[in-house]
Amino acid sequence: MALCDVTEPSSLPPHLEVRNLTSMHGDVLIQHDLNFTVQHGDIFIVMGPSGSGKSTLLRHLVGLDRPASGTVRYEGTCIWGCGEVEREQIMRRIGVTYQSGGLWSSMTLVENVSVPLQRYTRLNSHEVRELASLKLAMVGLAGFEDHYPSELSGGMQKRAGLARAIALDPDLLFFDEPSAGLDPVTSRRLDDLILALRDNLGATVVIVTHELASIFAIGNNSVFLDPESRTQIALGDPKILLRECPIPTVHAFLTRGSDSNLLAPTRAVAAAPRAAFGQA
Amino acid sequence: MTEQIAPKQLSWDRTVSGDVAVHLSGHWLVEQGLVDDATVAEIVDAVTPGRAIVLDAAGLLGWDSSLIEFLTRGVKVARARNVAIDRSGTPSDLARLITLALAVPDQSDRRRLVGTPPPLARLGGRLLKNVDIGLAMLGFFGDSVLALGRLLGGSSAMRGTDFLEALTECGPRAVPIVCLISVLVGLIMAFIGAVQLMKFGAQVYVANLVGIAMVREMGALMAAIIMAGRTGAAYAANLGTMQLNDEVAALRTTGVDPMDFLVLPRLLALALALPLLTIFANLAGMLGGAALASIDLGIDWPLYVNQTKHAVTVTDLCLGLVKACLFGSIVAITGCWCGMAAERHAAGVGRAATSAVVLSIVLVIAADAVITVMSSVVGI
Repeated sequence: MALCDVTEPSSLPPHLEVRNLTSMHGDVLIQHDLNFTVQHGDIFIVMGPSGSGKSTLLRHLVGLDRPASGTVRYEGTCIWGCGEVEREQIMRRIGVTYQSGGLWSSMTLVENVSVPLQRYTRLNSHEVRELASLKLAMVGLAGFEDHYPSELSGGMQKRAGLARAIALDPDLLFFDEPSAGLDPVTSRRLDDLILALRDNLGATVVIVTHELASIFAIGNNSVFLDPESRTQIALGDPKILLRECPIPTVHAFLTRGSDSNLLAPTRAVAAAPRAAFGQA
Repeated sequence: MTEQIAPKQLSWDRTVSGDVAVHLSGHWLVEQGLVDDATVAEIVDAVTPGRAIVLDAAGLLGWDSSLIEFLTRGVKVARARNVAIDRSGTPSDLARLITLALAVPDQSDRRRLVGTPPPLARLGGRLLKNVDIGLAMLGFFGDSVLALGRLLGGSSAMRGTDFLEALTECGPRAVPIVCLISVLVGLIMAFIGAVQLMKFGAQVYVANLVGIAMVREMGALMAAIIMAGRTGAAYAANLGTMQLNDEVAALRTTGVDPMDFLVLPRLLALALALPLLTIFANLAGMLGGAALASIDLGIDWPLYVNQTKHAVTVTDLCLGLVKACLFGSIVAITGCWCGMAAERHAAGVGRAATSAVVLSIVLVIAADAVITVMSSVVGI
């Protein structure tokens, strides 16, 4: 399938660059030949239907799983294929929040946020606690320092995960489905928080999501992963893609299928219980 | 008010043009069963090439999934034979549901490409898989040695509190169960031994039997097996769940080595706790033996203690404790490895806990056999 690319060429060096990345799970192909760049200060959306390999791609980008082939470069330094030391230096400058929060369940929130600080700074324990409390306050969790993750709601866990991700003031923040399982208002607040953090920390943000509201509200660049052809089929600002991308899959995704005949079956699902025993 | 259910009816006839008209009437309900494949094939075959199937649902009174199933199956068969289907005669909500069922193309090509290989290849594949597992576990063992090196070098991310917590969990809290089992094991050994030794009038040697067996072998072995079931399984379930919740991934992306942070405190705790538990097990076993000896054989306590003192040497005790330390490491490493290698779903965590117990018991007993042979060769 042809690639629909609406990105504007940039002469600036990219923050994150992915070249010819192929992702496999055992002997099953997930995605092949992914090529995209993320500029400094972008809010870059990785989107696509469920099962298209978005979270797997994220694991390649943050250095968790080695891709089957291809390169991932941070400001020119590749993370797969270079030494452990370089990778660790790059990893220190990124922050990741996970779909389920990924908080360490045996530790309180302040301990969770303290771990990266203890690992990478020479602050004493009092200073670490001060700084960790500040990060919690930044995500609106002041006063919850000594709570355990299991005592919090889903939205609060995500925010605590975010506090931990920004503990070391990263240049690049990754989010795996930040709004999954959150109500629209909480999800909107999280979007605002992401925007505020981007502006205040000067960070680049990469978000894996399929929440349309978030995609249009905060994204300024994106890649669309297609589960059928198993590669990227669209690149660029989601708002421009919505207007200009002619590919039906992308258009249907960005419009929730309302302009295509895909809506008809969606309505029929709601009608099904009534129809089941109704007069035909 | 109950609605009268009219049984479903399916009939078809060929029109003059070569089309086949399919008439659906009555109530199509799952309780009445599904239409068989032969009927579907018969209808599709009846169509003259180039003509279509025309659905007529004028007599349809009600329907559920059974009708949708029949029609989607029909559509698939018809597509395979290049026969068109005219669905305009069906209710619009029915047509939509069929479109829905057919909207997402069959993704069977995403499933594994390889079919079932021949038996010999399967056997070989399984062998290679086990070799891979063995190598991975060896790698894990190497990683834990490196983590220990980092700890000694002072650059470990291990937290002291985690170690103490793990030590409390696998030390003091395990004492009652270890003692209970060991008393019973000592009692059983004394009983079996007494029956044999009485034939020679050598009952007093029950103390030697129980003492040496407990200190050299059974103390460490029983403690290790209990800890495999108690703590090894807990480690696997704990780390498996952390893996499932992305907690392990979060450690990695934070730049904290999970070996330092999760495995090392557990490994050190169990390697330290098991020799201590073994001392309890030894004492409890001998207590069980002494109890049986005094009740059943009339050997009084001072005599039993004296006899034990002569029989058991410091070498025996040290051998038992060294073994206990090794067994503790085996149980901890196996449990942690099973947890870290667990598949990322609930069943995977369950399997990890099971294989942690089975694998660590097997490895402990195998290691015990090797050490026993080696020590007898060396003459300890």
